[in-house]
Amino acid sequence: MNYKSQYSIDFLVKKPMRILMVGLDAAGKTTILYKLKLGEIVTTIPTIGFNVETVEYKNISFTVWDVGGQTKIRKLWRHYFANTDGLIFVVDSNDRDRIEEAQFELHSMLGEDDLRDSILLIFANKQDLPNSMTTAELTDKLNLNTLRNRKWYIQATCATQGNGLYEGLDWLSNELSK
Amino acid sequence: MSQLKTSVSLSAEKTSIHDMLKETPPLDIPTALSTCTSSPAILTPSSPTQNEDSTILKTSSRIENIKNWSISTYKCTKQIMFEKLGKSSRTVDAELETQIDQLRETQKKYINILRLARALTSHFYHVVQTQHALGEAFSELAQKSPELQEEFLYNSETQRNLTKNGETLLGALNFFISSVNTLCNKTIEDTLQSIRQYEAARIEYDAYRTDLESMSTKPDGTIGLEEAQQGYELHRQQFMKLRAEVTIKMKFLDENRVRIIIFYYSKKKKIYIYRHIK
Repeated sequence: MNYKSQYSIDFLVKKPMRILMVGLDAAGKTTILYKLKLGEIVTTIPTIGFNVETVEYKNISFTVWDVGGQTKIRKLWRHYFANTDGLIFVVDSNDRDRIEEAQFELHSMLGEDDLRDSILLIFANKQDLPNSMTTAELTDKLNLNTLRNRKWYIQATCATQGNGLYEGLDWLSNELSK
Repeated sequence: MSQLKTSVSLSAEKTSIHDMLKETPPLDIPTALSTCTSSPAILTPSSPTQNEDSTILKTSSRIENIKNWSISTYKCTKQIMFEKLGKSSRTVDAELETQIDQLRETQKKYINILRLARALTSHFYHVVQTQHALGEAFSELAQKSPELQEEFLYNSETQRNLTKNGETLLGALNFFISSVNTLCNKTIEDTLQSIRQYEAARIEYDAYRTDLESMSTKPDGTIGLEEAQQGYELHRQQFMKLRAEVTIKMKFLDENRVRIIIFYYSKKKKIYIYRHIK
């Protein structure tokens, strides 16, 4: 009985939020997802298809959809756009060669009608690496200042140490409860 | 309990059709019927008069919207009725529809597993609680009766070990429940939502197709033919788009489901074995 009442209370209190997490391959999306879910680093393989986990944080039940980032499956992202409250775009801050490509993917995605109302969180991942770009540099390279009618936020993270992840979720939950 | 759930999900499957039936204002049917069957061309030429005034334009576009909506609702309702009566043909994609049925069946089975796992967790939680209390009681007795101290201490130690292992298993069970819950209520549900859209698009497409077919066989129906063809093409594209989406989503979903169960099963099995060895 005890656990049942607990579940029903969760259902009433916790606000559901659908999060879509995308980005180029090897940006660290799956690592972020399982760091949030399990609090530990799992060995990941390149995601073909997707992973979904529910992460409870601050009275919000985040359903995080992590969709594979390889070039040939990027066009399948759009099937998961509908009803997305928040979009997390993960970039490898150390990958200077492909930042242009990331910029292109981000902006072409934001042009989609289904994502008109979703808020955008950028995880500038792999900040622990010596040659990584700062958030200011990434803001510039990703042309974030050209975005109109879009709430966005960039957060420096290091998934393997767990730095910055919950700060990002904080922003999402604050924006959602507004 | 399970009976209740099945009936609920069954009715949920049918809601789209019932909703559509309900959405159609009953008074509209005769009027739409007369205009639609006698001369569909009457419905089209409202656009030239729209240019006169912006207010007229606004209201007329609103009226146009309502008109379009009621026509398409009427068409879909007619299609559903005729399909049920066996008077109209429907597009059947046998392979996809079997897959859809299988998916709904799978969801039901997983929901059942979820229910059972929750029940097991609840019972087991109480077992662990009782073990803990028993261990405490033994250790208390050990303090008070020195002649049986060794035996009581041994008993309390055993109960404590059992409690500790039990807590590990409880953690694993909760994790399993959380994962299956996400799978049932989020992942599968997302695909089912696309499927419902696909099914609605199928009816619309068939309605416009039937319309076009009946019009092209009629000798005097050439005036509205182009319009009908446009409507048909539009709905055909929509239908094909959703069909492709459902196919992809089902493929992805299946891979995801298999991976999740293998992953958690291996994790759970390890804990079970661990518990029994200890």
